[in-house]
Amino acid sequence: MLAPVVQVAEWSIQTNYVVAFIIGVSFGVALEQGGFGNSRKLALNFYLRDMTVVKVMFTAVITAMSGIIILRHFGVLNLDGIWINPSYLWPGIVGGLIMGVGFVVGGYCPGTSLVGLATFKTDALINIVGGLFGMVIAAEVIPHIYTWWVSSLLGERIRLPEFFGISEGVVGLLVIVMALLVFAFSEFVERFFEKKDQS
Amino acid sequence: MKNLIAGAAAFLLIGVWLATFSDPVAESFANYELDSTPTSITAIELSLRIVEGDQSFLLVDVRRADSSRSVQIDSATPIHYEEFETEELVSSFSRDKEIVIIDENGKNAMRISGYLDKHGFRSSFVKGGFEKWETMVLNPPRPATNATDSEFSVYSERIAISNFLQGKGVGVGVQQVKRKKKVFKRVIRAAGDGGC
Repeated sequence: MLAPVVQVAEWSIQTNYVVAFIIGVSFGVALEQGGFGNSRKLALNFYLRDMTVVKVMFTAVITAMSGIIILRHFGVLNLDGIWINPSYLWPGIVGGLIMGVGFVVGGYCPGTSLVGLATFKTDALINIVGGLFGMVIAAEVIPHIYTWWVSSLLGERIRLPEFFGISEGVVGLLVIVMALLVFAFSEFVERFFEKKDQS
Repeated sequence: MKNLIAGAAAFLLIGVWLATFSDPVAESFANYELDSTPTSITAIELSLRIVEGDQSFLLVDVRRADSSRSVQIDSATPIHYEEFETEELVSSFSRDKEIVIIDENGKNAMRISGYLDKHGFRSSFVKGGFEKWETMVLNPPRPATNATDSEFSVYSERIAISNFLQGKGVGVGVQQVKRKKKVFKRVIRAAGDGGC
C-alpha cells in the first residue's frame, strides 16, 4: 500500500496541515479560475441557466471515485485510511435542506464563499459571517435535539456497494452512467433556456 | 460538442472497465465476513453484571471517539474498532477474561466479537449496543398502569440500576413507582332484588 500517503509515510500532524493547506489553496485557485468565486454564476445553477456547478461537481465525483476504485483494485490505496462520515439519514436530509436554502439565498456554499472572499467580494464575506452565526445557533440547538441528531443511523461507515449488495465496480459504472445522464440533461436545459431568454 | 462526446465516451469506457473488477479482499471489520453469529448479551444483562461487580469480563467500547459519545460506561475501555486489526493489540488481551464488545448499535461489535472468537478468545457483544443501553438501561420503559406487581418490581429495580450507573446512588433519588389503586365498588343490592 502506498496511500493514503499521510499514513504510509507517517507524517506528523504539522506536515499534514502544511500539505492540506497547499492542496486547499490549489483547489481554491482552480475554483476561482473556473468562475466559482462569483455568486451570480453559482446561483444561476438553481435557475437552470448555467449548470457549470453541477457538471464540475459530477466530474469531480466520478474522477475521484474512479481513481479510488482503480487504486484500490491494484493494491495501492488502503480505503480504511480514508474517513467516511457516519450516515444519519433524517438529520442528513434536514441538514442538506438547510444548506441548500442557504446556497440559493446566499449564492455560495461554504467552500466557494471562501473562494469569493479571496477576491474581496462583499457578498462572500456576508455569507461567511452568516455561516459562522449558523454554527453558533447549531451549537446551542443540537444539545436539545441530540436524541434526534444521532437517530436513524444507517451505519458508521456505510458505502453504496454494501448498502445495495453489489460490487464496487458495478456501482462505479452506475454512478458514471448517472453522471452522463445529468450532463446530457444540463446541456439540454441550458440550451432550452438560452433560446427562451433570447426570444 | 465533439469534446463533450469524447469525454463522455471515455468515462463510459472507464465505467465498463471498473464493472469488471472483483471486490477487494476484506480489509477491516466494516466488511469482515462472519463464519457464525457470535454470542450476544442484552444491555440489561450487561448492566446487571456491572452492578454485581462481576470481574470476569473486560468491557470494550469500540465506537469512534468523535461520534455520538454522549453516553459512556465508566468501566468500559475505549478502543476504536479499526485498532483491532493490529496484532499487538489483540495479543495484549487476557484470554482468562471474557471480552464483551459494545458499539453504537451492535453491528461492528458483532464482527469484532466473531473475529476475537476466531482468534481463540472468549467474546460476546451487546445486542443493540448503546442504543439499547440508553433505551432499556438508562431510561427503562415505564410499565402500563395495569401492569402486574412483578412488572412494577422489575421496573423499580431497573430505575435503581439506572441511577447507580449514572452515579445518582441507589437509595437516593430512586423514583417511587406508584400504581393506581384499583377501586372496587361494593354493590349493595336492595333486599328483595333477588337475582338468578
